[in-house]
Amino acid sequence: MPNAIDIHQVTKTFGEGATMVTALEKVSLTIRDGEFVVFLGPSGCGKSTLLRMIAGLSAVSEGGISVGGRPVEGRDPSVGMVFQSYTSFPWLSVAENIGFGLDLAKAGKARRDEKVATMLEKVSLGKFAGSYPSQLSGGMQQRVAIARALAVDPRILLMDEPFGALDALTRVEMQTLLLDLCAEDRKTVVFVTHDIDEAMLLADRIVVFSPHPGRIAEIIDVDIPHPRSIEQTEREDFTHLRHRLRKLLFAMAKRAA
Amino acid sequence: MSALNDTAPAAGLAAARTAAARPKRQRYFAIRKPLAARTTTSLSVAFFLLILAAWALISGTGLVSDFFLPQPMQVLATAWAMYAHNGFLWDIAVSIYRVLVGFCLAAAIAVPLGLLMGSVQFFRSLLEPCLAFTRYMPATAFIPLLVLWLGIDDTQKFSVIFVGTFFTLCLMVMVSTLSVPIALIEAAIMLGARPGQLIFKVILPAAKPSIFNDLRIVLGWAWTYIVIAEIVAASSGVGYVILNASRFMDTATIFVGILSIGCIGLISDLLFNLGARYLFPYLQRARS
Repeated sequence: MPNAIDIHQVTKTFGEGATMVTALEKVSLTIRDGEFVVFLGPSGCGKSTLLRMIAGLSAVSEGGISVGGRPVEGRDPSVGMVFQSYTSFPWLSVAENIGFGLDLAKAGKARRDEKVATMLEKVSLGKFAGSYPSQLSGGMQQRVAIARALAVDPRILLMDEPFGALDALTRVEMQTLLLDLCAEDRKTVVFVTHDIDEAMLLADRIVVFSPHPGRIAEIIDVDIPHPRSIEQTEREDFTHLRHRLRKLLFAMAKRAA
Repeated sequence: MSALNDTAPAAGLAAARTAAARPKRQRYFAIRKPLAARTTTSLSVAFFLLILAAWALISGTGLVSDFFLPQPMQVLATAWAMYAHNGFLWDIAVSIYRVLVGFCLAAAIAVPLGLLMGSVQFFRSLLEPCLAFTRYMPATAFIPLLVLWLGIDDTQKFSVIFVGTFFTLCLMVMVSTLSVPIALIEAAIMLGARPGQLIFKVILPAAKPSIFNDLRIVLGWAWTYIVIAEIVAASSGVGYVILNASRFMDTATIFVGILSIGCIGLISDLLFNLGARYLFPYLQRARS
């Protein structure tokens, strides 16, 4: 089986000439099938940029990325994405939002309805099937976004700070939901965040990025067995890891200042 | 200490009571604080009445001759005569027909074109500068040319409305389309939307409420252009009636013509608002 994602010597620059900014410089990384990888780093480290290039939403300046052994050229059907901002379509109900991808693919009403019902239950939004997104809380909107992305059965799920705009309690709730979903159905997940606790709770591997230009500073394996829960983050091994990650990130902030 | 404890809450209570009884001035003029629905309606009606009263006062006291400013009752009597006996409704119908044909033609081309310009940079680069340039040419200056080219029948009226609304509407629809968040479009791309699906299943529905509002605003301008077009050359329509009345120095009739157009504008706004409520139920719920 090919690797889920191969990133080879990828450089990304924005602008030209004197105003050119290098967002990422010669980044290489391999992500295995079924792995949960978190990109962690301060803002401006290029972690979201790399995610967008894996998604095919943005082109690499140099180097190459392949998904499932195929070079990335635009959106790949095996890749789904959840964004930081709320991207539910406001004119569609929750159920219609979740079925949107299946409708685009002309999946047929019966298959769509069945899949939508399954997804609604998985993200506990059954009661809100007919509601409009504007009637939902931020956490519920992100549940819709996750359900909508998973409804088309991607092998790989990309998540760009999906819980960044949520309050602390809802965020933990969403992290737990995501862990549950992953336990049910093992997908390759690449998750971008700047929240250390979030990274530790979710990741099999944490890729720490450093800014200006964006590079991989360190890759840390999180050897804490699944299933995980928020209570475990109080354990000693977690505390050590948290300490180490903090030191890494603060050192970067100091260098940048 | 205990005495302090006893008096402090009492003092606080007294202060709270004064706050509750604060003068109305502060309640009515607070910045960005909503007022009760009844207060809002009363204020709106009151201002209409105030203007009416000022008008009655100025014309009634003979401060201004009713040759220049007819009295409200005079205007009302003239309105009755025009609507009931002189077939003014027919003139209104003719004007509405001309506005609608010209405006619908403009919208039928401007909306798809604006949508395309707001979605595909190629078309924006191609057309925007030219449209922005044409937009600043006053539509009224085209009237002599249009009379020369098309004569003075309805085609000329349609074309004046078209020239007056098309270019701006195009740009407004483009701006409304551009304001669709890119994240919405990217989310659809990641769900497998192809370019055609992006335009018709994401960008158009997302921009529809504000395109609808663009149409509402531009339809109002169409009324200015139809009156000018009818004043220049016509044998029917509201503009023609106004021009005719000015020949006979019949200010009351001019007033009725102008006020009638105001009412038509109000009604058309009302219809658009009702339409929006029906077409975009998800916006209503968001507000409540």
